[in-house]
Amino acid sequence: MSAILQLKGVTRRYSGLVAVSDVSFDIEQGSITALIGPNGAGKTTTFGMIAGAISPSAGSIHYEGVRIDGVAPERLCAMGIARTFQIVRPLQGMSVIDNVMIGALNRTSNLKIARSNALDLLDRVGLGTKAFEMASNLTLPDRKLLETAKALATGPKLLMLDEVMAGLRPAEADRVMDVLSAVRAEGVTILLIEHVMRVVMAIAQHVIVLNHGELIARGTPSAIVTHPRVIESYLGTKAIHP
Amino acid sequence: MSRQWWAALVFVAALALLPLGASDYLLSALTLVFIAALVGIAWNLMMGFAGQLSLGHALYFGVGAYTVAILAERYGVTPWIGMGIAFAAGAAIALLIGALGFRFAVRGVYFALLTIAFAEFGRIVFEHWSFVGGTGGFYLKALSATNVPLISLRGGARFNYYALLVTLTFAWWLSVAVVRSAIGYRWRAIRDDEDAARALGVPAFRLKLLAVALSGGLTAIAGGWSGLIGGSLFPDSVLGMRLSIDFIVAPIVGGIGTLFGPILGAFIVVPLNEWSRELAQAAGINGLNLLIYGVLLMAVIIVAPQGGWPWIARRLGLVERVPCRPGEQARNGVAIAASDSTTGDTHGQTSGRTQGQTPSRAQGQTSDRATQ
Repeated sequence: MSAILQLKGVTRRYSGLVAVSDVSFDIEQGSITALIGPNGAGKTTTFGMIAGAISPSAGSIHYEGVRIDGVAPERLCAMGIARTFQIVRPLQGMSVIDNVMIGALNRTSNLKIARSNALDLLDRVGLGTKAFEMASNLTLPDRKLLETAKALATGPKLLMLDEVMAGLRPAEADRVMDVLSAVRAEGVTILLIEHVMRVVMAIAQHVIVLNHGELIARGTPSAIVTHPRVIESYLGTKAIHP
Repeated sequence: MSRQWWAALVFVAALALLPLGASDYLLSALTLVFIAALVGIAWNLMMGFAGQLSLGHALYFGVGAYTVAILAERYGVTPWIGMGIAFAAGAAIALLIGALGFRFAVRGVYFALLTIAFAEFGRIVFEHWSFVGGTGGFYLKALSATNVPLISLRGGARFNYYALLVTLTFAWWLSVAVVRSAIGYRWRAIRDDEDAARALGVPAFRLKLLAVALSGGLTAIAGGWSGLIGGSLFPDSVLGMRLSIDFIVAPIVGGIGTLFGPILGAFIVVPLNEWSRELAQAAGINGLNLLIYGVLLMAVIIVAPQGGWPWIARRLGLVERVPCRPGEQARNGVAIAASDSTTGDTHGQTSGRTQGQTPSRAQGQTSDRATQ
């Protein structure tokens, strides 16, 4: 399989603080990859750099063979990269369906088509009954679902999800996982940041682990959970807790 | 045709028939209302829909006024063409300011400051520019006996009234068409959260430029009419800071981000302004009109924080109810009532626009802002 996304030596510094340091990895076309790591590991920063919200201080990012670091987010979205925000960002002055329509307008300028696409997607993620509410009236779990629906509506080839399962009830998380599996079956590549290990174990083929801005391990989920450096990064060493 | 279109049609028809029985004084006053409404619509496109605050709209207004007047007076260019050139000039200046501001990510109040700076810069340039008459002003010659209003676009009260009514109707129709198109949807996304909108593929830079250009151009046309009607132009009176503030009161009173709000606002604010000024003069109390102005604004904030139009439209039943799928209405009501109290706000981004909505309102509001 070919790589849809390649990071080479990607680094991001914030005046002295190195948030992401020399991270390199490939994402295979059509796969589901999970990006995990403790808080502050640099996951969201890495996401931001891929999605064009943040420019890397060093290194390069290639998407479908084209170098994309520094390209504006709206251009990347048009090229097929969609992302959600960890801190959800509903368009508060608009209804739920209008929020999703904004994403759908990335692919069509026909409002009727965008509207029906948006409705379909809302049904799919389980927000269909709330389509005509104001986005500002949604509960946090519903806002997470809305983030996912908005990103899906843009018709991505690479879907990047930042902790969309956090705070969802197990039944809701299962529903989103079903959607993601279906989306993947349609050929969409998925990269997700996730803390819910049940989700990671269930749907990811590859796991990339970051800690203190560095890539410390990568592999299959089952290999990762027994990886000594991963356990160390989450639980500390025996030297600290003898 | 929807109920809203019928309401709009009846409204325009009533205004069109009004001159049959109205005095010239009333027509002149209403012409001022139309000009204020026209600028209000233009300003509202930029602020209410694309979310870019301008406090310097007098610049476009003044440039439009001088452009049309000077072309007509010095070069004999008919205002038919002059208006087009004024639109282009207003749009070009707006594009320049917008491009500078947006290119360097000047946002929110800082962008507003930039618009003030450019407007004041424009006023000072005109005050020291002898070609346009400087502080002494620029005057149009009195109308000759052979004047043909349809060529010179200058005429009596009745001509001005109809000219502005037609211009206003056209501008309003244009704003409805744009706001209800994909452009309008994307503008509102930018207004609510520009970064999130860009992540969804909204080309924010280009769309914001479109908003400021359209707004600047329409405002310049309003200025052009104002110059033709008034006949005399002074930098302070058509480019001054005071004017920039006056312009935004009407759309705020009528309802920011609504299509009809700026028109309603102009119908409230302009007559009130005239009346209070006369009252202040009669009573011999300086500044009484400003006091009344202030009290009105406070009243609007208290009674209808989202402006007068949403408040009235609800009572007239003109709010477009988005069809829910069968059986959803009841559930939605319950769900909203429940989530209203529990959601709170998760990350401090409480938007002033969304507060204070009662549950029953929020429900039918999918495109309220766009459709009113």
